[in-house]
Amino acid sequence: MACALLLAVAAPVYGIPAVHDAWRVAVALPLGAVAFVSLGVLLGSLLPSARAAQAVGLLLFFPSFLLGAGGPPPHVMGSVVKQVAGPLPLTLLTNAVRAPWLGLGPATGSLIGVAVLAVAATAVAARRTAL
Amino acid sequence: MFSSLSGGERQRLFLVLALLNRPRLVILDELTQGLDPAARRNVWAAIRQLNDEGTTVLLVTHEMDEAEALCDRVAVMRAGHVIDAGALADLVERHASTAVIRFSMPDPPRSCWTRSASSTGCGRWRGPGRGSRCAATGASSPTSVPPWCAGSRCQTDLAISQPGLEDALLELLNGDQDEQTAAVSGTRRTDRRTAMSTAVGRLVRAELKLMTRDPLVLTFVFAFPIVTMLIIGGAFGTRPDPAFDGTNPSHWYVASYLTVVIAATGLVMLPVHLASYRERGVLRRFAASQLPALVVRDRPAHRRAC
Repeated sequence: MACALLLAVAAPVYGIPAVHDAWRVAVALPLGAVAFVSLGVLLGSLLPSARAAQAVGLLLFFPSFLLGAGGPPPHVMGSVVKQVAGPLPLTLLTNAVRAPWLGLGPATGSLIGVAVLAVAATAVAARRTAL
Repeated sequence: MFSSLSGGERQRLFLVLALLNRPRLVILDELTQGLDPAARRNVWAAIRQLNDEGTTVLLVTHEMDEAEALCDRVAVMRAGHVIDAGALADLVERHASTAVIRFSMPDPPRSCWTRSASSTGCGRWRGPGRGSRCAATGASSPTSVPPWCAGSRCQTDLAISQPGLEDALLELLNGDQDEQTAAVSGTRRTDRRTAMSTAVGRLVRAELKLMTRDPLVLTFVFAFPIVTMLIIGGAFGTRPDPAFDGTNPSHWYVASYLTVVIAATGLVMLPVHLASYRERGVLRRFAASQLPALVVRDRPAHRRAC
């Protein structure tokens, strides 16, 4: 719902770019959703309180956001920052969605990374989930 | 601070919190559980006063004496369904109208035991000897004691046990159990599956509704990605730029920000909601419900102490 709203807002302002490889985008988005939902379930299960979950969640979200999706493009990042940003889950997911969408390449490595992350996070979350 | 309170103190705190904004309807679930008798009576008095002041009280309890002391109307539930409801006296009358009269008659006149049940007023009776018992149907009082007994030796230890809500409940649940046993097992499985899917559907709908009203969700999942996309997406212009792999920077960010929505949901919203539900025991209640194990898992025993 939030994704649809975001696209609805973006459409009249910037326009929505044509999707070059719809299949890969269609695979990457749900895989990414599964991976991040599993990470969220894991965090929510392991952290002792809602406040702790909020603190840790925000601590993970903002660096991921700045380095992996909403910040400067990788080409203008320093080499160290680029190395740090590369393996972040959000960077992998963004590459796996953005590259096939804009026709920048298949981003198979990123897609596999997201798939591995989704499977691993789901397996760990299923094992560790506690009420 | 809260963790240092005793069970009784916590229950009283919950009651105070529930009444803070003077609600017209309060739902009290097992409120007196774990309270000592004195505290229990105090809570009863508070509930009565609340009711006298015009507040409707929906009380959930397993204690029949509590229901008898506080309730005007009672609904009996089994497996999530109301199996009977009504005024207290009506329920008792419907399901447990038999009073039991007990008395001793060490040396009864032989004629007593040859009388028919209808002439003595007893539905069934047992005797002669010590602990003779007469079960009378209808609202019994000392005046309904069989006339052949009144004034005789047995009156010294005459005791009449009036049926109460607990007797009615037992009768009602036993009857309902029999009906359930008679049901076809396939039908029961279907009912259970339907109940589960209904429960899960309701849970998802309620959760979605809550999400759209939660400031944290509105901020991080809806507002933050849209606002930052609008700002940053326009910051680098709309001409193809080599720094953006030769694409339009705005389009670059539109494609990127979809993943920000996913990350905000997974890293911010979900952990907070889940930890909050765990803190408040909501998930434990789900675990005790009919939801399938796939939806709710109980905490492993070795982690319970944490």
